[in-house]
Amino acid sequence: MKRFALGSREQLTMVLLWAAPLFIIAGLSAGIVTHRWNWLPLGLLALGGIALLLWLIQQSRVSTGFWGRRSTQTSTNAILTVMAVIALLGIVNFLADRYSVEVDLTENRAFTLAAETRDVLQNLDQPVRVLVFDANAASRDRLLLEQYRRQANNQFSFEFIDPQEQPTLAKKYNVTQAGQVIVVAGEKTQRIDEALSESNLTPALIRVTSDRTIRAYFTTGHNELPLTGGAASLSEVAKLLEQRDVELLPLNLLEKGKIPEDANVVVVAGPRQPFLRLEQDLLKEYLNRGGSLLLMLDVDVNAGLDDLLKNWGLTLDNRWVIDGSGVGQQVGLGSDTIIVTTYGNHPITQRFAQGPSVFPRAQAIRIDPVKDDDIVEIALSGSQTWAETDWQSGNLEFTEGVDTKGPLPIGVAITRQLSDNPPKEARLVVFGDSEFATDGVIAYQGINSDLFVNSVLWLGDRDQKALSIRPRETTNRRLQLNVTTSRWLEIISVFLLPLVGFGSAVFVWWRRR
Amino acid sequence: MPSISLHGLRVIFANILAIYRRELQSYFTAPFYYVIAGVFWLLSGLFFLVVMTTIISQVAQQDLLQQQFGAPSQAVDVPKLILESFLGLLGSISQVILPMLSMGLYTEERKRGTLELLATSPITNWCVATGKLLAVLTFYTTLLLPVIVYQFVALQQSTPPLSPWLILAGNGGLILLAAAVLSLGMFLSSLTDSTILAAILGFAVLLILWVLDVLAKNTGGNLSDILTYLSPLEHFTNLTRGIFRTSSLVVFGSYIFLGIFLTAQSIDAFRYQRN
Repeated sequence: MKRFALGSREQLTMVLLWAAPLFIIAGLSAGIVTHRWNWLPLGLLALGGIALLLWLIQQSRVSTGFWGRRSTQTSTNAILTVMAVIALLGIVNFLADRYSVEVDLTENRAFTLAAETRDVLQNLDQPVRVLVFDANAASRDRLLLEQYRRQANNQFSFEFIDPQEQPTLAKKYNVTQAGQVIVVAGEKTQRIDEALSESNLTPALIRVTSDRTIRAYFTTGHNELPLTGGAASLSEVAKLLEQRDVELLPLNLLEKGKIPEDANVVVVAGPRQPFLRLEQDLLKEYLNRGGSLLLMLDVDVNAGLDDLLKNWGLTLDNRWVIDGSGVGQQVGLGSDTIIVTTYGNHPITQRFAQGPSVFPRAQAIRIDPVKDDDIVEIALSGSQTWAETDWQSGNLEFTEGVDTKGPLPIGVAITRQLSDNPPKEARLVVFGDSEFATDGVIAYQGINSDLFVNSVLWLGDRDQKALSIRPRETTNRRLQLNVTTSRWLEIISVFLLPLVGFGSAVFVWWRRR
Repeated sequence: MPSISLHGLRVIFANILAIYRRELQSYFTAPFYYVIAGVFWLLSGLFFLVVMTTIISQVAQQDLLQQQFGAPSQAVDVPKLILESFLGLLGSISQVILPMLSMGLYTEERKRGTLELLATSPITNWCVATGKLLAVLTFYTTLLLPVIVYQFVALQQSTPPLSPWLILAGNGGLILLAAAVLSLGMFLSSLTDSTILAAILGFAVLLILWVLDVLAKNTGGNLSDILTYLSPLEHFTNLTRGIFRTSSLVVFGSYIFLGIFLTAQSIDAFRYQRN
């Protein structure tokens, strides 16, 4: 009987036979990994070659006429078979990876992409590359990117790059710290600085592939809400819009004397002084030639736009909408602030489900539909709200017959077909409040910012691709074991079970003796 | 090779079953395997309690802080977190146990000279390898069963209870990983008649798999894709997270098949050597 001992000739040949491919594979991988074919991979390859040679020599020394013997034939056959089987497994796995089906077993579908993302990926018309500059690729990032790649038709690829290993590439994309992600499509790039997630990757994809930015003109000169500043400004939503590749520009109608040709959307955010005749006409004419206008108008302000609104079948109610349900008070809001959870079926609001948005001191909009217009009440107050006629006195009680009972439309979106051929339409969104988009109100963590951002995007982007994706919510769940269960668990898991194992061992051993 | 007929298939199954029963019987009469079971259960029980209490108390502390100071709240799925961490640890414990289970699969036969009796034709080589692998996998699954039961008992106490599919997928992944490692370990044990050497080689295989996983995470480009795909640990981790991919099954299946195939080849070569 043979024992394992180095030095015996047969064992040596065995070792050589196994060492040879090992060294060759090690050399190849070292070369591929470092992209450099220096002494290490070449040395390893040489070692492999020498081992292979030695094995052949050894084999031929064992017996002359080695090549003619049956055992040689079978062992070369065996090697060939092994190689063939490995190649076969390679092909099977290649196909399996290609056509793999994935089932997401998590309860909140944490690993399933949103419908918007899938739309975007399936409509990619140019190759997009995602470069993750991280030496230590988190497997969660890889999972996410793999899912993107699977949904896209060969137009999506990604790569994890060690910034220290490829400093020129890092410099090219101005990467300063590990973990930064660069999305590249043709000449355009987009950078993601936060942790990679679907809610920032998909917008980056849209930005990098969309061939135009949206130019949003904000009217000035009527004491509108400023785009920068503190709680009473639009700075937060402005930032969100810029992230979506919306260019924010000021527009003084009197100075310019016209609405610029390149305007994709004009925003009138909470004016305090009326628009002059000339300005009103400019806005009307802009809508009539297929423009997009967003109006945010507060109670008790004469913006001089009633005429324009009438043309679209709208009248401002000019009364506060009061919330009698008491829900707002529970989170520290006054009864003059309503919480909206009902949204119309519209591209702006289609993904909102019943998320809350907050409207302080809003007015309702009365609708008298103009024929053929497509009117959607995108935000509706609750059934326990009413329009308070006596709002200025501070006596906020519902009076039957005087006050108007809810639900009342707070936001309205209208599409008007101007001509069929070529297709041309005007879009108007009106909110009975401007405060809802300010930093101070957005801080309530409702979906106010989404409502505003999606409105601007819907108005400005006629391709309707860039709508907001909300980050997926993780299941929030605790585990509470009652005392008996946890006691039993402890006893069984660390005491009884091991005892059974060790006890049986002793018993079997004893019986064997 | 006999042509594949119904009769041939029946003979093959009968062979596999005979080997399977013989092997399984040997596990239940050897004190060594009971010791392994005891160690496995003790370690997994301890780790389970430690993981569970640590995570529960950490989250409770965080909740308390949040109540007192209004610190930003974070959504935590406690039972799922426990499951993921515990299965990761269970994988590590198994990596110590598995080479010990696979080391004796063929070395004993070689030492006792009974291999010649078994290795009579290429087809029986396959049957023997498959039967042995099935038996040792059955033994490992038996070790795992009570552990799966108390995972169910504990993790389903949350409201709403953790989806049973998550527990099943994670533990199923563990069994598949074990099957792949055992299959490769079986091949290594067929190369030598030293049990110790077989165990060391088995550990080396695990080390290689682990290095493969690390390499997959640290290299870039296409190579990283390929290595990630080939790394069984990566597929196991995905399963513990609740992602089931058909390609994972194919990868594990490939490793299992490769192990059985190489074993059969190696025994075939052994037979020629002896003649």
